[in-house]
Amino acid sequence: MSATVAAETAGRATPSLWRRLPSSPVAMVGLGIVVFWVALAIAAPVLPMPLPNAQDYKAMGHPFGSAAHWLGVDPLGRDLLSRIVWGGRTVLEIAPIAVVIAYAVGCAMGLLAGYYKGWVDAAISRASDVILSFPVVVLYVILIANIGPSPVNIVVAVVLASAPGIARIVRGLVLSLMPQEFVAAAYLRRESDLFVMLVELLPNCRGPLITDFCLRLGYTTITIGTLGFLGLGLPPPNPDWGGMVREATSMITVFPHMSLYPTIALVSLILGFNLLADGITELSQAD
Amino acid sequence: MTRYILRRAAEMLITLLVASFLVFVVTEFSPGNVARKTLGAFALQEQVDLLYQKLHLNDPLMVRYVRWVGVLTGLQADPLQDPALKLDFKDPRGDRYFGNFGYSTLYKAPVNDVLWDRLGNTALLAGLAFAFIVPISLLLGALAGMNAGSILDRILSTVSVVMTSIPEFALGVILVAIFVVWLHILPGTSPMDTHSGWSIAQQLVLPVAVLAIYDAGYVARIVRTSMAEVMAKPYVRTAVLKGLPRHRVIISHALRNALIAPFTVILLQINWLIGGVVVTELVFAYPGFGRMLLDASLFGDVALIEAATLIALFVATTTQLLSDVGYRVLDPRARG
Amino acid sequence: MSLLSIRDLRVEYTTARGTVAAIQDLSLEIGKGESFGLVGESGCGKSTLIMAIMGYMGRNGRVANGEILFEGQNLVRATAAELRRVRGGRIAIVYQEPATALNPSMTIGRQLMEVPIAHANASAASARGQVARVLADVHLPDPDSVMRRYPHQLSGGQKQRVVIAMALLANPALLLLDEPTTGLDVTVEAAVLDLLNELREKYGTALFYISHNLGVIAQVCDRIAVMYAGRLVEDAPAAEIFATPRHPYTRGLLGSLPRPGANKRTHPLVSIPGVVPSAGRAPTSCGFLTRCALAQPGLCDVSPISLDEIATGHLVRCLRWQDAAEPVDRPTAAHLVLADSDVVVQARDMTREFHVGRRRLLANDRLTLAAKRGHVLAIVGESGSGKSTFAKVLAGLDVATGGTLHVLGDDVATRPVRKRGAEKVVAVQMVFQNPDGTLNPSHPVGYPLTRALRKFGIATDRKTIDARVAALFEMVRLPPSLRHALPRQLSGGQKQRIAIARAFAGNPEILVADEPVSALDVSVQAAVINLLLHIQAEQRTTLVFISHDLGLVRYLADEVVVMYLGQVMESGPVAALFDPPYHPYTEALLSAVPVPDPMIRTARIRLEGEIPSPLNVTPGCRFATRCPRKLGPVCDDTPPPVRDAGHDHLIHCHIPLERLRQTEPVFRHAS
Repeated sequence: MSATVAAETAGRATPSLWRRLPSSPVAMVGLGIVVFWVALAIAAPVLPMPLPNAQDYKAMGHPFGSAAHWLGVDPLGRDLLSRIVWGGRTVLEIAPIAVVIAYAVGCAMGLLAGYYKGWVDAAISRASDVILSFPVVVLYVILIANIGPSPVNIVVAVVLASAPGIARIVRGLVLSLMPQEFVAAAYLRRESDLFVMLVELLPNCRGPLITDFCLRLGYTTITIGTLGFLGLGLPPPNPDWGGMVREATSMITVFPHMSLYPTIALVSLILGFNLLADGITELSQAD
Repeated sequence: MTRYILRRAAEMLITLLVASFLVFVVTEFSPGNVARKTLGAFALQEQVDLLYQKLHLNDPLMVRYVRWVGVLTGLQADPLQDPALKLDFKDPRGDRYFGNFGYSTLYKAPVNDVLWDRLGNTALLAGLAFAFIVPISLLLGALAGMNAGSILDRILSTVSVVMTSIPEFALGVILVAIFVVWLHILPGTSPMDTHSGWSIAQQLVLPVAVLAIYDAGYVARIVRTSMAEVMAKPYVRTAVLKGLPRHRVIISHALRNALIAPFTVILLQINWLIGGVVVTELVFAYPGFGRMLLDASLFGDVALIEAATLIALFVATTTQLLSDVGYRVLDPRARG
Repeated sequence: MSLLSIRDLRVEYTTARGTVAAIQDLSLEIGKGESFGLVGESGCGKSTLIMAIMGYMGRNGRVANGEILFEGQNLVRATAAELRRVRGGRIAIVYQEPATALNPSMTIGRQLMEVPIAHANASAASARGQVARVLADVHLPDPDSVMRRYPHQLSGGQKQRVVIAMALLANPALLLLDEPTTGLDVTVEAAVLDLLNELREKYGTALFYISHNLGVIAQVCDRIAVMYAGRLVEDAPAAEIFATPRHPYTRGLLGSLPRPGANKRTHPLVSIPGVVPSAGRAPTSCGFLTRCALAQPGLCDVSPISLDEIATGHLVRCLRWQDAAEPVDRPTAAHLVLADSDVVVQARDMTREFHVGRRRLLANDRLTLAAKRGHVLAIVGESGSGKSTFAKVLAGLDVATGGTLHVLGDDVATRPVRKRGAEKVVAVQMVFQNPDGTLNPSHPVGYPLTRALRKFGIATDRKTIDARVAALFEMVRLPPSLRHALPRQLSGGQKQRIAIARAFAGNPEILVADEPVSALDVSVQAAVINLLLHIQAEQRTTLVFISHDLGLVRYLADEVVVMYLGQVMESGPVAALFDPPYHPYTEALLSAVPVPDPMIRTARIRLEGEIPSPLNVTPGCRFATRCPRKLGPVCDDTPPPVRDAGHDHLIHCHIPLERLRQTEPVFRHAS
């Protein structure tokens, strides 16, 4: 009989994605931007700046900025910096919650469709097709205009619009995983359907889903901003980047900074998410 | 192939029916609202009640949806045009014809009078944008993808990721700040008339740019990925090791295959553009379909919302059908 | 004068982990019209060598040292234009996977016509004529229709012929063959090898043949070099390599292959310990150091060893080659000679029918076979034979649509795993073909074992489970510390060991092994096979072994079933099956097996065409469409009778036994 196989392993252990992240400059820049905004959002209540809805009528004399208001004030004399920081807090609360719920729903749909195939798949896929056939913005406009703008409704709309796309990805992944032998091995251990779906299949969808998750955070940030701009975002006076731009566009020729600053804030956060997604894709392809 | 197209067309029709039903549910879920919205905020309660009865608004949603389809297809008369209601809703086409979308309460005119001009404007806007998106994204994406990993790829990829990270309204603000506020070389609004002294062409520059830039970045990324994947395929290696010159390898082996996957994505951008025009038209006060849909939604113009979404859905599902058929034409493997 | 002369070649790749030398200190010569074979396992650098010759190493690869002289020109320094003339013109490649080597969206005709247009400035019309001629040379029927088709409309064997035609179009001086038959069925492989030999004579092209399969190399090559961890370790005339191998690695490779006539009782396989190192990770002195039984500290691990000529034309890179001259000592057989025992698996007319559109596909058609307790039953067949379908039904991963399948007394034909009792599921376990798919990449490799022990109720508390898992790891000769590793950290052989441990976790009575070693490197295969047989014999498990490899089957089986397109062609004890009387299909299959010994001559029976689609079957014998001994319409129309040749040896054939008995044996020793 052969000697005991040496403990040394043939393939080298690839460290987890998280630990390899520093090797991608793109991912690090993206992560840096996101962390910057998250830190600001968390620190918002303790930062030495006026409250986002406090109006300072005296400051309206120097709308472009002063020692008291670094970035200046908006048409109602509210501190722009404070509104941007608090606005970021709003986005960073709603977007992740919405995307996480969308993932829960989408993964469930995709797992069921890919696992059971047949009529379950047909029903879920057809329903997804219907939702996906709507131009996204049109779907949001009709929905929010009818159910009313509020954080909860925005989350509901994002979930409705995103879950079918996530379901489609998960379904594809599950279909490609199902013929793999480890699934058969699980059946030979008499594992239940639920166990196979959640423990054997779902963890292996992780790779492609991490990238998609980052991209979707970016999309959702765009959506929240756009809804705010269309007047379907958070009801005033809540600070909301899209809403801030909306309120200031009519004055863009006089006070361009009032619409430019929140625009830059929004774009930087989206860019952060997108770069992070790009970096992760690059790393996973380098394997 | 014909059978495939017929089958897909049938599926498309079903999707359209289900989707329009969903829109109907969302907009007409509370029947009291429909009557109130139709008559406006200052109508007397008796008027609202009368309309409520006349429209049979307490019938189940499904029944009312079938009735709506009946009016749309001209099988039924539009109840709103009944003179007994004293609403003064008049349509020169009569109250019973195919394509009767009803009466817009926002514009106080038949939907068909409001809809088509704006749709034409939007088609112009989206068409121009599309005409820019395709060549720009193909060029950016193919150049980056065939040199995957190079400096050029890094630069082009960064450009595309920045392009897709700026939502339309934000891009509008930035472009307006640069070209209108700072340089004064373009108009900040595009009402599509020449009263302001700016030509139509000048008015179109910024809206088209806003639509094209965001989308071109997105499509370029897809093309890049596809091109980079194809360049790493064994058959491209075969072509190189056959002794073919590089341009032949790229054109007849790599590009042809690399464009099959993005083709679908490119056509689906039409779907995305429909959404994009809502925002862009709002930014530039452009008299188009998107802004009309937004106004109708905010106002609660039930008939107009339903008409506009149905048209948006029709365009979206038709492009989906086209992309599926096109895919089968492009990829010999899918032809079977 | 040699055609290709490589001197002191070193090829490096820059990776995220630094520079890796994929090829080191490599020199070789190939003469005009010579057929040179290069043997090596995955990752040894043989494909890199081909790409280095072609100057195609990607962005991160480069020739760091040495020269590649081809027809007097140094290809390492060639300009882009010079390389273009050589590529496809003077040197052409036949690729490993013809399915991916051809452009899916271009017709075959256009892809082939590009070659004369690029190299001979041919007009479209003359290019078309040349293409048609070469397509006829590679024996593709109806070249005109082939030219109009797309790659996906051709079968695997046809695609490989197209790739060969593409390579020959410019009449190159050297043909590089990169595992051209890997992935093809044996009968198709045999035909492609015949074609290569025929074309070599016709075109006078030199062949540089790369393969992991010594049997294939033995059939085509005059001279053979063995490559290990980026270096040549031995280079000698073909007959010498097989008769007097000198490098311990070469000897190990040969020892790990079952030779014709050998079986597990008389000639156990010798396995090479350890795993194939990944590129650049082998020791710098002698790459084989860590796996070599002869390695001598202070001698072998000091400085790089040179490739020395030990006899005319025989080069070896080993300091202890003289000690390696002793005959390979084969371990003693530990296998029990089994008495006749009870039948534990009995299929009777078992049928598995699928529906493809409106047509039916009989993956298993009235299968009748039996396996005895503690015996090894091998089921052999090519792709489409239905052997894997049977394995799945037996394990309960699929269900039969007709007939019966008794396992330990109960009919389970229509009962999937979910409907079998716990006991039945534990009793029948399975080892799968693909080592990469067999373990869940998200979980540590010990997890399926722990989970199985718990689900089977063998152990419930952590301590007992840990002890049992450790014992199972010991059983498959793996260190128990490995249980926390993730599958991607293990080699293919290690993964298959885990899979075996998992299958034995519940002490099954029947183990179904579906091609358990076909995806492994040759040097690792033997160890896994030995392990499997050892445990099987020790635990008296019934092993149902599914394989396409007749050599292996002959080595390890007690009983054999030969299948073709869903039907049993022949079955019987292993000793009876490999001698006349043969079923004509078995005879063709045996003739097709590439024997890793140039001294053994096989009677050459070649099958026409390829395995037909299982959708278009005749009511008679499935093999009738390709049978070289077909009697007439009776074969197509009437199911063949079962002829009993004695001792459970059954042949399903219309040809009378007496005539089948008159066949010559397939294997003969050349004197």
